[in-house]
Amino acid sequence: MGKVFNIQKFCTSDGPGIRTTVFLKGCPLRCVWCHNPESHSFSDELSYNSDNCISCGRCVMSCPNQCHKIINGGHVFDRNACRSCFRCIQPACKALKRYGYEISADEIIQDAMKDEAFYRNSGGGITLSGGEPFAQPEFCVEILKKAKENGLHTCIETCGHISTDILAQSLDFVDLYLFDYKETDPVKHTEYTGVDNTLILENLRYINSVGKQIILRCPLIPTFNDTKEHFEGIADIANKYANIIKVEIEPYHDFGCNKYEQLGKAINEQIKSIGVSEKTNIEGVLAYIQDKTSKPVIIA
Amino acid sequence: MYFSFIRTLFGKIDMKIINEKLNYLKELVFESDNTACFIEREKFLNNLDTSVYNVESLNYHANILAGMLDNVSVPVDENDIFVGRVVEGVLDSFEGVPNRTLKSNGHMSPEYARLWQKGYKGILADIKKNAEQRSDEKSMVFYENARIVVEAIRRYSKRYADAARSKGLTRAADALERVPYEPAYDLYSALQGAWIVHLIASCYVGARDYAFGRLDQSLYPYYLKELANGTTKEEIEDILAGFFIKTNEICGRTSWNYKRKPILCNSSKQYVNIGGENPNELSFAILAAAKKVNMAQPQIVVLLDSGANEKFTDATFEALTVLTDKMNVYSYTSVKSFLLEKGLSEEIASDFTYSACCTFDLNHRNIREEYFLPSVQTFCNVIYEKDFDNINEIVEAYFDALRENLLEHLDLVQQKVSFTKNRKAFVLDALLIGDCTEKCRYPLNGGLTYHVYNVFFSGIATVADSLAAIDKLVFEEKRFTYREFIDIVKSNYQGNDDVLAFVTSLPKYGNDLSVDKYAAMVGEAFVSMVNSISLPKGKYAIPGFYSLDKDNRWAKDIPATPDGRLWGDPFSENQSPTYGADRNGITSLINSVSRLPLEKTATGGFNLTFSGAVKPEILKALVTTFFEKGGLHVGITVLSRRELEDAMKTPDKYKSLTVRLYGFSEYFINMPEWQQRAILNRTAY
Ligand code: SF4
Ligand code: SF4
Ligand code: SF4
Repeated sequence: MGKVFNIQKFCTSDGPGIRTTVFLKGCPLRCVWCHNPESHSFSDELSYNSDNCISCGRCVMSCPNQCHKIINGGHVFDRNACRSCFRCIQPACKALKRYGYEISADEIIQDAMKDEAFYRNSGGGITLSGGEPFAQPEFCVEILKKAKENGLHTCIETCGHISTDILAQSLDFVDLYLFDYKETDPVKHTEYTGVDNTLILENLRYINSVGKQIILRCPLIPTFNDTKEHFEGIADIANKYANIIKVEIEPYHDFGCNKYEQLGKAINEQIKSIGVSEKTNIEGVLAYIQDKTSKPVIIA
Repeated sequence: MYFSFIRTLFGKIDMKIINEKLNYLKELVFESDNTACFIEREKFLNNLDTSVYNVESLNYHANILAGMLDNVSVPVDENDIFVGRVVEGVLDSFEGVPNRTLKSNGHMSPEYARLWQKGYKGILADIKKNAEQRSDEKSMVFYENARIVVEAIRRYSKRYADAARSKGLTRAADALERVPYEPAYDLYSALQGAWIVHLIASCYVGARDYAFGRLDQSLYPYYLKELANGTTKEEIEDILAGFFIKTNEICGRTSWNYKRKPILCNSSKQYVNIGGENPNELSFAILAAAKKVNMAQPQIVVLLDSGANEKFTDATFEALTVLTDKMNVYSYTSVKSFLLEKGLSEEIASDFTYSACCTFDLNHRNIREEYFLPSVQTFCNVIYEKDFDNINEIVEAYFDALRENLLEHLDLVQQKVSFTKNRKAFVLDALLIGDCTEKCRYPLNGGLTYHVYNVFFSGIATVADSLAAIDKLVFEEKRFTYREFIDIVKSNYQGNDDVLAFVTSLPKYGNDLSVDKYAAMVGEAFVSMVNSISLPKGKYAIPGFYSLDKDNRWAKDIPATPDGRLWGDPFSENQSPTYGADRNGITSLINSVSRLPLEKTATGGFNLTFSGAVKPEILKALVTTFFEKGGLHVGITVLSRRELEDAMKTPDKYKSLTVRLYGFSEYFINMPEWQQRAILNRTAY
């Protein structure tokens, strides 16, 4: 058994073809721009979206800790006393949502196999994402192994900050690694993600050395990593490793911002002020990197 | 000739001139007045001289059509690529407009190949021979009617030839000196002849939804001849584009049920079928021409054979990403095997077409009737009135009631036909439909060997989700007795918000979950009910899951349903889940819809909505997988919410914006607001 927070069908940008992406919960990094804050913690979390609350009051009675109150006809939620029992989530309530549930590798594969024909006709398969999928090592490898037993094409999206031993265990069951490359400068890397990039770079070198295919995924975050040095770093890495087949630039979007508030988490103030990435000249960045490497560079 | 004229001027065909013409003609369509009628037709019919047109005469309707064609003007625009237009105008009063003294039912695919090969001249000669052999009165009347109409069309075409010549449109003029009376002699003349006939049928006799059949097959000999004569493929695409743009000129841009243009072909859909077992080079050319025009008409229908050559399949999905809602893809394989199972011969089962409302025809061999079962109303009646102990009992009682309703309807249909009424409706159509000319009979009066009744079930998701709710709350969990629960539903969930919230939150059809079994169950019961009805030889009742606009139009009179739908709310559309109920991705949606016994149907539609551009290879994978799983039809809409909302605010900026509705494409800004909202509420992937 392991913990996931979403299984998404019909994903077309997490590897080739039509895919099912399984989002495993928990991540060792805390990238300031992360748009999946619900993926960080290894425990289940309650999210509350006040925009969707109709103040019907049905949650009030079911909370043992009086977190929900109706005051002057409006619903008020006090997260401080919450013990994450999830009893307050009512049928048809669109405001409260639980992130995270236990599921077995078999159940995941069974669900994913429902779309087998779509994978076959599109060259797709299953992708593990997160969070950091390797942060639940046994579970992650078990899913991959079972996927392979069922003849599925497998991808895994990783931040790379994991033990190389675990990575080694996955080699036989992964067709394509979607490897994040977030920042070239090690100091900035620590500042932006909470960890330095030594282990990440070592793992990237390792996957390349054993001959597995890699797509380099590079988030493009205005005012953070939109620097010439980093773009050159991307091109250098792409040139250096023969098994990097493609570079994908992922422009920043602010879809995740509201989720921080809904989960009761603080968001980085600088990120909040970015808005949409239209401010960066994405085409220009693309051309700049393309100029420096012969590998395909695309916008994801 | 027009093209050689340009060629001599510029050495080769000047693409810019063609494109400019196309743009100009497009603009004319958008500038046309949606409140205008075909004014000359209306004036003529409203002032019929009864001393000339005697209602007792057996040639009454034929004479009227002839008189009208002699009377109306023959406008030509100097930019016309094909000629044939109708004068439009606004009347002081629109009472009784359009006049129905003359009208057809439309909804058919005339056999243009026959027209091209024989010309009306040859067809008339056949009728004469057959009528003389039969020598009964009905046959002689049929011949006399045909003669009057054919000669009138010949005179009308001749006048058009002169008008075209005076504007310097030599190619059109040369063609209309001969066609459609004489056989077509090249691709252009074939299409020009067909256009004159289509124009008269749609606008002067008057009716919606005449279709062009399997154009890539019927027109292919002329295509080959054209190539042999040195016409380039690009020039051929331009000819086709010129023809396609015509189909936008006659039907107005309003919706058929909203602010109707006062003409009988209001919002008629213009269908061109291609593909099947033998897609050819012309199939590709048609796709290319349609992309060039990219307007609401014509609707391109691709009949996709599972063994079709890969190149054609790829071209289809590439075109679909451009044409989106203006294109339909059907599983040729599935329909053909369904028809073979119905006992039709290989030849006929291979030669079907699709046109309006996702209904099929045995190409030009039949006319069709459509019947929408009152499926959701009947469901409410059944579950409200009687008590039940399990789901099977409900389904059985439900389909007994629906069967009774259908039999009653078919009985009515059989009785309503009369020779006189037929002559009115089909004075023109009979020349190109079924075996009418051989039998000297009108289509509904013995002229057809085949007759298709499309029987539609609407609201499949509403009914299925309702059964799921009853099963869970009453039979499985026993939270309520049957009567208690139904009384809550019946009261429109008054004072039972908790129950309403609960049933609303239950898993719904459309998410690839086990709850889909109810849709499968209802679907099976429906198709076996329809397929078990025995009709006289040559008559076929064909089941389909299709709602047209009944999901909204009927909704206001339909009380609450156990799935949480309240009194008056729309029920589900076509084969789709309730709007917004599908939340598990498009592949799950397709898996759910595939649980319906679609391979035992031949009509009905399934619309997919995307929120942004989709890659052709992804569309291809989705549709081919759906067809592998028995799917019948796919139509797509690509919409951006922002764009639609903006279009509601500033419609003038979005004149050409079309969206897919039910089984066809409509101009968004010309739809009623409730329908625009319904489109916005769809789940977009
Ligand atoms: S959170 Fe949900 S249940 Fe509670 S008041 Fe808001 S809508 Fe009602
Ligand atoms: S999760 Fe439990 S403790 Fe937290 S608000 Fe809901 S009911 Fe109360
Ligand atoms: S590695 Fe990915 S999931 Fe983890 S914090 Fe960074 S962006 Fe978020």
